[in-house]
Amino acid sequence: MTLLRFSMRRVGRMVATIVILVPLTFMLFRAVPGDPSAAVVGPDLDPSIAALLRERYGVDQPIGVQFIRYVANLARGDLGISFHYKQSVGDILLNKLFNTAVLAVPAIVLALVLGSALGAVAAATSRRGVTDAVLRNGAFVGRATPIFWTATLALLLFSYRLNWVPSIGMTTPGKGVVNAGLGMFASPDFWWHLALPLLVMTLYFMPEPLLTMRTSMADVLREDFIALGRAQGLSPARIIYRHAARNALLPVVTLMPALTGTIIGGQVIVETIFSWPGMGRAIVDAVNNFDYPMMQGVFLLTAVMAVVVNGVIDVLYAYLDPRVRLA
Amino acid sequence: MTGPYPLTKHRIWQGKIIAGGRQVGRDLWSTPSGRAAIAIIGVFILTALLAPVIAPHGPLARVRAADGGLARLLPPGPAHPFGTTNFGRDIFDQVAWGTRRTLSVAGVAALATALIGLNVGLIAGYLGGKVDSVLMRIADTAYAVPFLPLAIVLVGILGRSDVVLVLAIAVLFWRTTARVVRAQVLSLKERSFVKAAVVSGASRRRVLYVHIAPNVASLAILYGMLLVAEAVLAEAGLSFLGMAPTNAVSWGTIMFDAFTSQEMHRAWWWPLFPGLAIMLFVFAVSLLGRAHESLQRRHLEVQS
Amino acid sequence: MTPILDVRGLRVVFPSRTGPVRPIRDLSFSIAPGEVLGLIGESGSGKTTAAKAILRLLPPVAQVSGQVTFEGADLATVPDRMLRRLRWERLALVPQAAMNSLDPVQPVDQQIAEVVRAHRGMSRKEAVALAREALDRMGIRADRSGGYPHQYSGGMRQRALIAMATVLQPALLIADEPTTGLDVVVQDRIMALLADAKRELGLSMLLVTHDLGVAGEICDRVIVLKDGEDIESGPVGTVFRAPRHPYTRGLLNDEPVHRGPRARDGEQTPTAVCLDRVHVRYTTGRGLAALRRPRHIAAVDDVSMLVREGEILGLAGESGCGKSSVVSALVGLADIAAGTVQVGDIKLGGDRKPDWRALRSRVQLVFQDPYQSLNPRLTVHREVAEPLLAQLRLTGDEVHRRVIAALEAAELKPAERYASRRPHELSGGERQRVAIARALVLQPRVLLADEPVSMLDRTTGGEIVSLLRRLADDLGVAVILVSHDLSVLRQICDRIAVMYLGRVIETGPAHEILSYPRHPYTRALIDAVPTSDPTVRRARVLLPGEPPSALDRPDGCAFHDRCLVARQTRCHQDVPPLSIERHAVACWYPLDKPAAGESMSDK
Repeated sequence: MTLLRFSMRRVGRMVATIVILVPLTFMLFRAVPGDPSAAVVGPDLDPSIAALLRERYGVDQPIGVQFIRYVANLARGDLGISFHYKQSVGDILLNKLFNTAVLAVPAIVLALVLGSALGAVAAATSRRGVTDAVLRNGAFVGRATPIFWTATLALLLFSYRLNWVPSIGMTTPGKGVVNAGLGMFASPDFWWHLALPLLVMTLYFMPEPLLTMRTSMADVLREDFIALGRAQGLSPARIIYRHAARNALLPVVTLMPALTGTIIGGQVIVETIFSWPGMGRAIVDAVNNFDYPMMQGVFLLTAVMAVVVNGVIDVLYAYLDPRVRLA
Repeated sequence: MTGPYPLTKHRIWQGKIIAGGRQVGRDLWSTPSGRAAIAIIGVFILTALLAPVIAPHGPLARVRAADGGLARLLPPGPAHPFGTTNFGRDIFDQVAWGTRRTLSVAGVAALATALIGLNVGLIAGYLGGKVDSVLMRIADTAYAVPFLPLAIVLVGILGRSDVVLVLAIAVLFWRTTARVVRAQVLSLKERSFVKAAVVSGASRRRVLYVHIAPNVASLAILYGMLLVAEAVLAEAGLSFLGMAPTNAVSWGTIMFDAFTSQEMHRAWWWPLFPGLAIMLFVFAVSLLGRAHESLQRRHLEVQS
Repeated sequence: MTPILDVRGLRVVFPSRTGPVRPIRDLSFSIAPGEVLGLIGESGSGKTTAAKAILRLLPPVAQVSGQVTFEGADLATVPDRMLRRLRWERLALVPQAAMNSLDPVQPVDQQIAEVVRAHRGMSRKEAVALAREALDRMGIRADRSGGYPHQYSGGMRQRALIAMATVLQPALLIADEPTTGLDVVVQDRIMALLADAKRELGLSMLLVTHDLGVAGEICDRVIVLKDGEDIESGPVGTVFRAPRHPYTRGLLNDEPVHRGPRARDGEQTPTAVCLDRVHVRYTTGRGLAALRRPRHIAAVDDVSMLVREGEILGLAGESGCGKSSVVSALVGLADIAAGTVQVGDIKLGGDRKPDWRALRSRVQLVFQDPYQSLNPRLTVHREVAEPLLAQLRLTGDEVHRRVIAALEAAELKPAERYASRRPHELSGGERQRVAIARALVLQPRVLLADEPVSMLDRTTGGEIVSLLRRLADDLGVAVILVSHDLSVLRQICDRIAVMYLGRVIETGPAHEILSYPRHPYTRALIDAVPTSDPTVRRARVLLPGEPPSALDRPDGCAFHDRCLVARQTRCHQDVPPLSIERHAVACWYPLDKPAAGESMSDK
């Protein structure tokens, strides 16, 4: 009941953030120097055709009307027509979103699970032990390493030099695999393509949960109730499992919102390097193609996704921590 | 309000920042990781300053081999410690000049970001109430916006320029500093020495400048330094995606050139060295953060 | 009779950067079955370290030597598995009242059941039932036993910890400051529960405390610790009534401070501060929820009082009764919602915007925590000069002269030497004196002191309290002293006002209030104070129910649901007014003044 009320409040805040975000996005794209239609074919356009284009994209209307129309279209899930592909941005992005998720979701899950586990190990062995030193310094180096560097070097080594895995794309063209949809998962070819980007992304996301878990676990182990647990004759395993783990995981959960930016940024770069046909590459391509509706669509969709993910994480946090839920 | 003591607010504030900076520096130098970090960062800053001396021909000069042809894709050797590119450019020279550019863009971005964050944090924390709610809601929104897509879109709209790079960084990254400063101000506000100042008749500005800001200054300086590392990574990421101004040479653009050259598979050294520079610099800054943490822990131990 | 616990030559050494720290140097004692031994001393005396060393709970860096024999086993050398069995089955701990001693993400009964299951092969259901039974013994009923720690009050958490410690019926209980930080009424209940547990379960107990009253009431024998050494020990009666060591005598001293020569005939001296029907409200709810429907909580509800120059008024009551809010309102840290405050010719409240500047040179405040009340970056001189710099235009010489004068008034001598120091170079007592000097430098007419000694050791606190008395006598400052500790108020106050849920329920001359309380609540408050004289058996009046919250104030007399004399309808429906007498009381059925000699406090 209280969790439900908390969730409702959180949804309210999410909506508020999105309400700020939508006009901001709209204004951002109104800031394009000159006429957006000029971008489609270039500045030396026949004035009458330019006027036709302006009418088609609705930019001849007053700004207020444009905004209302924009919001109305958004409400119907219509993100406009891509300048470059001459197709509905929404349709294109739906496909790309799937491709992105196929890579990002396993990477995030792996990074969180492995990262927290290794962080807990580091904390448990943290009396200046070798394991802790290796894990901690490894994480610090990992956090300092730009993902485009690891990705490039991994590509050079595993793909170009050793020739273990393919270098680009999600599938090998002409191998008869559908380039989208669930059928893909049955193809070993797809998994071969997935291996390297997945490895790079997992390694890239892992340091933060690892370091957070290490610190929070070490903090929790210093708490009075852990000392009391020892005084109660509980075994170390029982103390860690029953009391320490759940408390220590809380900061890892709060880390997630700050991590979404990193994840999205990493995704953009990895997709570019491995030619992965997802949202990240779409936005870089859109900039290179001056495809404003596409840029706008990807940007808004990413931002909204980030807001929703953060909201879900807050609710998850409230579920895990009674102090928030029953405050 | 000038009393008998020459303590105008401005001078107190300025003095405290300098004193705070010196204090932070001295403290950090006292730890081994702090010393290592300061040494590494010092080498980078020297390289940036001395780039015209180290690499007098500039980053775009083409090197000729002994036979008079362009020295294309030479592996690292005595003449070219980091090797050369497919256009016969010396990668060591490029990295040296890249240091100059990367650090100046990142430094300006970090300074702008830290100033925004510090002021937002001070104002939100000290005034509280509706001002605080509004500012923090804006910070929430800034948290929700992922950096790279926004920066790419800004470049797409405003074109490729240094100003856009700085703007993209500053417009989002202030959020962390603002939150940290605000939290610190909130906790200071509840301390009784601040209440005592209010009770003894100090004006709001006097409370903020004499009692709160100096106690926040060292924290803000530390976050400013950490921001430089974030800005370096951000600038490099954007440059790698080809969002930097043409002909600019930074660590990220060298890697962009390598990646787009189609010849990278024959020149492993090309992307290696600029990436190594980024890693080393960011790692050194994170060592500063660690040194700060261990100092705080030492501080706590002394207190308890 | 073989002792249950025997400690021989216990030493603890912590290596540190500045050389080894020795919190315990050569401590020996033993506890017989069924005996309660008190380990008493001020903070830093090593008493908690001793308890932890016995339980082998010190961090691995600590070097512990000496022999600790518990039920025939040497605790220092028993293997871990054996030690784990001994812990809690035979040897349990009640830690200091702290939020952090319970796991914040698990319901309390589950946590206790967890301990039971770790030691006894039981189903979860049986273990929970046993846990609930233990909680019930401590007065936490089934409807609250499944709650989370943050939903408990401090007293409930402490009771839950005792339930946890006694659930397996151990042979020895080590209680480490079990009542510190709790209000006196709550403390009294905890002590009663500990005494009951000891009697019913036949426990031996090692009680670690700084409070001699607590020790005097439950201990059979005591050891006085100072700097890790046993300076005096013996049966509690002997030690407390005829202390041999001057340190122990200092601890036991709480005689009223001698009054100055000043005439104290109240009617002639002018009024320093006057509160007339003051209300203070707080708004709850955060963020957007607060904008929508703010909830007002009356922290101070219709309070009137008057303090004359040179007079000390004590404000007493449990935490949350509004005594600190009165102080906040007087210095403008809280808004006055209704009513007026008059200080000299300045009037606050009502419609006019108050002239805070002028007020703040007349009313000054000394805070509770001396470790937080000084700006860590300022020297003592600059700290004390701050109010002058902020308010007045004075020459540097004049500032210096007044700072030195204020430091000397606060008895920091030689003042010149203290002036250049920074807070971290000062002890707690010295810091509090600096805070007093800072308050005095503007030469105020009214000095407010909000729990000024609650963070200090008893001896230091006594000195600060006497200083306040001298300031009132010599400078004619009016002092309002807020304290939950009646013995502090007894020492220096001329008059006392007792507050309950935002209202004054009894006020009058200090000795009359303390000797012949007329409100049942005041009576309970006074009776709950433990006495360090073990021959005095006080009648314990345990208040039922939980401490009140201003969030849901009972109708009628706010105290009726805990009152032992409250009667139907009248007490439940009508708010009793404060009577207009020198010794005034707000109660429909006030207690009679007892015949002389009958009073508990008149020993």
